[in-house]
Amino acid sequence: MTTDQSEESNMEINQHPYADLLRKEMMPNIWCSSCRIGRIKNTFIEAIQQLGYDPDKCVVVSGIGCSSRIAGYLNLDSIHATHGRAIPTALGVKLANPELKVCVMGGDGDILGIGGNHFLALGRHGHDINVFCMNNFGYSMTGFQHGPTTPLGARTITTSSGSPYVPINPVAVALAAGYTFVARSTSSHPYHLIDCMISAMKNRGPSFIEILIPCMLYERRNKIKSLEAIFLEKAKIKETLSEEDINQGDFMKGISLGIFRDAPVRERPRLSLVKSTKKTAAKKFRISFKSRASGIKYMQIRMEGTGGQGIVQGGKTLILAAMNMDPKLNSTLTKRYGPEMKGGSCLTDVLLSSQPVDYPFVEVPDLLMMMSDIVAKERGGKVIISDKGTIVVDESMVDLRLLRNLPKTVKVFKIPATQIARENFRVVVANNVLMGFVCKVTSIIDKNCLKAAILKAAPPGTEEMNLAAFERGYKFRKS
Amino acid sequence: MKHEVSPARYWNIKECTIPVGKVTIIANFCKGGDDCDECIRFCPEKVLVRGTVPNERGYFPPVLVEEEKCTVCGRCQLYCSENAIFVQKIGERTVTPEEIVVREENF
Repeated sequence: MTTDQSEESNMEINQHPYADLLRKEMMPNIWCSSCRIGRIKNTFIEAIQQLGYDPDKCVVVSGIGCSSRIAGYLNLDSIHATHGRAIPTALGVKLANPELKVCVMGGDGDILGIGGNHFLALGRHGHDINVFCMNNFGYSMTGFQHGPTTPLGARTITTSSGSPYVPINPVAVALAAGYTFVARSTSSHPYHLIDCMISAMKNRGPSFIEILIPCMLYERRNKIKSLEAIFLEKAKIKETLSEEDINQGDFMKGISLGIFRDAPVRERPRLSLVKSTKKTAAKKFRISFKSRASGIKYMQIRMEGTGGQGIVQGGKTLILAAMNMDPKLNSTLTKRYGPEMKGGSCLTDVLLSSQPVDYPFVEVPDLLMMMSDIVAKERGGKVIISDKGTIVVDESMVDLRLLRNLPKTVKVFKIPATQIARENFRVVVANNVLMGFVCKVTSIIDKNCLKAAILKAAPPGTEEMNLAAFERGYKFRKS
Repeated sequence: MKHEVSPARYWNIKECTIPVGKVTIIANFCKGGDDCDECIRFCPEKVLVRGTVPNERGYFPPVLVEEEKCTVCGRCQLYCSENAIFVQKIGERTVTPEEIVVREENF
């Protein structure tokens, strides 16, 4: 292009009625010769001009694709987002400044294919975002691969003998997802499209317009002479639409255009029910305790067992009790367990220290509570305990042969906690039976402090059983 | 349609006048040819025909034949994907009774 000619065309484009909203330095467009995406751009400009919106208050967000290039040619604030993520980006814009009019322009591959989840989620969230989806029945920018809206039997690069899958119906999906404005139009009916766009922008909820556009590649592969002629011949604009119009199958037989839904925004259900049930939870039990200086300098406590026995819960109870007893203590709780909820090895480390804790893991425990022997067996049958430490063992779960080779200075106490819990209460409170026994045989933590901690850590409704289990373990004597 | 955009929005029906338009074609933007002939096809007054002189990209932009007939309906500027054509209102003329009869038959 010579400079004279380009200057001349620049002069001329400035007189264009759409010149205010066109980004003139980007023109001419990159689309194919017979592409109708530019017409959608014109209808969008016409809709904005008719509504009289301030161009500074309009934002266009688009993803990747042929139709997403519209954002580059409009002289509005626009974001060219990553593939399929146009709607989340638009949601961010809308949440940051609710005054803006946010529109999402994209193709069917962008909005319905790769960003399908975001398309569904927007209907649920109910923000005022207009989604204009240009449906050309496939991924046309990369050479026309099979997409979510490719009609049954249509030929694309990836389905060379005809698509075997039934396409999704974007209008039906949008209606089901809860969009407050849903319409269908084509690029061959631009005046109808302007009408739909104005209604969509006036609607105060999430709105969705499916715009059918002919693609040259689709025409070539399927040996159709002109899709636009089919649209002009088969499409009918209807004032009132029935359910059959939503479930239209083959667009070669007939297309029904029109506004399927134009509803006000729904009110969100209130959360009062959830709150009231939380308030009515029983608060009968109250146990008073006295805090005192504990004199603990550095103590490592470890609780090990099988997942599901309440190992983590027991660790929580223990650390809460320690903080009840001496609020000046520093303490950490670390837990290690596998991916399985029940049946795997599980251990909880509790550190109590008068100094700030630098290293949160237990190296050699002073007090070891063994609910089962699975951790010790995984370690090769070795029980790690300091020379002057204490071991409290659940007799009914642990193989006692593991404790033979321990030094004689180690104290070992045995209680069949799981058996007691199973016979008297439920198996899940076995950790509290053991905790009661620990409270009796070692004098680390006061009884009332532990009971208050159990009340705090136990799930609502089970306080009575947990406290009874604790008392049972506290009163246990070997017969 | 609720928010109807009539193609005849510039017409003054009371005083029986009709606008006279000036059509501008930006030849370098045009991608017309075998694929695209929207401005020629949808013009109700048949103001344009396919040109024979190619622009520098090898497309054949349309040529004005009867410019004084344009009534500023704005279809060509809405239908053109490339924004290569637009119309501006430059004046008005009175519609003769014979023309009104013809128009009523057509619409």
